[in-house]
Amino acid sequence: MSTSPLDPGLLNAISDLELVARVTVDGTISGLHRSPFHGYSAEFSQYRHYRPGDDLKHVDWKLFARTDRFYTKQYRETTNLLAQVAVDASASMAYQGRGAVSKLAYARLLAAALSHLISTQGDAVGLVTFDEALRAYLSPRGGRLHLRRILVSLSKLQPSGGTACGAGLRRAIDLLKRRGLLILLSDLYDDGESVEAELRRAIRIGHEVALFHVLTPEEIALPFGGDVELEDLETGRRVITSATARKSYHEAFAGFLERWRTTCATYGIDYHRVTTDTPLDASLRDYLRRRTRSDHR
Amino acid sequence: MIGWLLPAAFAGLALIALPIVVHLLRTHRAQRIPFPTLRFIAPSRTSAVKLRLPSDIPLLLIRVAIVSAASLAMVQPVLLTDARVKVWNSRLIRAVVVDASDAMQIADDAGTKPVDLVKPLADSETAGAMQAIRIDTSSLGDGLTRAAAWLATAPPARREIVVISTFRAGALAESTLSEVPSSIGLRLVQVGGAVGSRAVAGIQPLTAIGGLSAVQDVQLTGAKTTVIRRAAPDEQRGWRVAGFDANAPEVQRLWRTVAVAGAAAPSAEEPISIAFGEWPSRETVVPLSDDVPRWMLQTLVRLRADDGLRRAAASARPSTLSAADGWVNVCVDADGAPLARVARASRQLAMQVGAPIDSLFGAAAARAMLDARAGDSARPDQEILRAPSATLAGWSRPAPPIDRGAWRSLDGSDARWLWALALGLLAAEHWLRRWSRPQTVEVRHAA
Repeated sequence: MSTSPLDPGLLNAISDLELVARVTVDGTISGLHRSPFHGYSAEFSQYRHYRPGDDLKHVDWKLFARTDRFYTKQYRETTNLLAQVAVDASASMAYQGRGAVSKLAYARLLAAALSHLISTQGDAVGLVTFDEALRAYLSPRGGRLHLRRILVSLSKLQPSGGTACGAGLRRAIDLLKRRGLLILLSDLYDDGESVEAELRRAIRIGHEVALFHVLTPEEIALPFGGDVELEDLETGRRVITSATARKSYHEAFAGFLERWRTTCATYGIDYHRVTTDTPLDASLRDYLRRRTRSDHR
Repeated sequence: MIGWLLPAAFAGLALIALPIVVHLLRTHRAQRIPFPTLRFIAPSRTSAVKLRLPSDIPLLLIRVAIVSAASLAMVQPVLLTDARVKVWNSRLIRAVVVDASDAMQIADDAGTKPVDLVKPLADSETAGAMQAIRIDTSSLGDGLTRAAAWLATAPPARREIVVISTFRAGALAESTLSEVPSSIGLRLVQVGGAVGSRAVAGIQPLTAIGGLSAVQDVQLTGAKTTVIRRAAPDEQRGWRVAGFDANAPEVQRLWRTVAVAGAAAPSAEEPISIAFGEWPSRETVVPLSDDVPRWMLQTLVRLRADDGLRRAAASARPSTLSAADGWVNVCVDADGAPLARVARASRQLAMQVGAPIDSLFGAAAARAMLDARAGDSARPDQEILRAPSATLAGWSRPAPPIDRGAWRSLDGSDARWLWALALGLLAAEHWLRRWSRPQTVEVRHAA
């Protein structure tokens, strides 16, 4: 179990999701030089003298050539980022393994932190939760009150039913009225084709897509010795398997992970595989750093 | 070397098969684990419940060891180390047999009674042993048997019987001593001094009424015994037939019959009464209790041991007596009704006979009563000859070292160590079982 201050188990024990989100975001953002999220429509406002720490891409090189001085351009944002967070609340997300939190709890904490981060930047964030059907949806909006609605909706989330990731994604995409950011948190135990089709559609529309593939270490390692009877959390089906079947499981599961990694890379989807034993701030920081580096604007 | 106090308990070792069978036959149910998805799981060709070979060998071995230790503990092992045998050999357990016969009351020529010398001797003998018992007996043979039996159950140690007696001639025979196990030492302590000569009152025989009565005077001098019969007045005192006049013809016939058959004369100091049929109602009888004179009790004991009376009862007619309180039965007829019974009537010993006065059983009962009162005419306790010291020394032998089977009388065994081992193994088994139990993967609905 992690001993990080932002250990998922510890955070999950705090009932105030808003506090958890704030703590997570505050601990993550410190050290990042600039906001990882940007609006898409910025209008030039004025020049100002370059100060150390300013991003060099905002330096007006033509003006430097004329004046031999560094000036950076400042913009006035006219529109905010629209972000839609989609959380898979199917029964398979209830799996906890030997860890401190279930996949759903981890996804909820991560979704809360991301929503808080986006909202406190003044951007609009929405929420879609689903299992085999759409459970709840909130259109992207800004403001503290709306953020609180999202957090309340997340805190009430209980795992149940099968997975209909494609339908949930479709609804989330539909709620984004213009180009925006779609964040999916799921274990992706669904019909891969429908999910892939919806993700492709989101990319075609022009949305930026981030996929958090939430797993437990036990799903990856299958650390059960001897004969075990595994029971599917979603269907209730049972299968007797033995240690000898572990190798074929590893191969099949590695293929599953590789398929999603390749698919996401193909379509420019930001793919993050997170396990529930990873400290929450580490997962968030990793995502934000990669996002900052990749310059998605 | 290891000895086993309860070898029959070795059968308990068969229980070793139990954990093996349990391990062989234990059905194994596959652990049920909730899992997010089964899409990557290849089903195995196995069932949820199956027999399996003993896979948990360490656990099996520990369980077998537990059963083995417990079984061996039940066999009560005794570890026979040299040190332990040495300790046992350093101990001495002693049975002190003290002669309590009348011979111990005979004062020697110096005027000392042997019985007065016994206590300090017996005390010193019992004090010098790890365990000791004092057995007072009028029969040395019986005392030796009892002592050997007690020593046989004593804890492992050298064993010895010490006999304190005057060892009058005939008190102890070599054949009696040979019955004492050779693993028991024997020491014969002779007390009292020599008795040169002494006079003993002999048995006075019954004579018929009107006949010449005689008294025996016995003189013991060394190995020589002199018996002098002298005439004595026949007073017929000391006995009567209740309900009859002393001169009645029936009484006279009975007297003559008994005298001809041979019997001891009655004694005025120890009077007896015989009733044939019902006891006179005006004469009260009381049961023979603890406070009756010793001679009455001795007479009762001798009556019950009288073979002639028993034989006569076997052929006697059914008794005419009915059950009554206060009487002690001496013999019964074929139906269990009392044929002869005794009680105390004032200072007399009363006998009630369930047969007529002129019957054979009536005469047999009268003779038995007279003989029983007079006692044994042999008077062995009055003997003054003593076993020579050399003979006693030849019969004595030191307490030998413990024999190979002495540990069998050990009160406890070394089973406690095996029980402790079994408990330790049990704890180890518990720990191993917990340690080897697969950790269940729980699905907590923490969400």
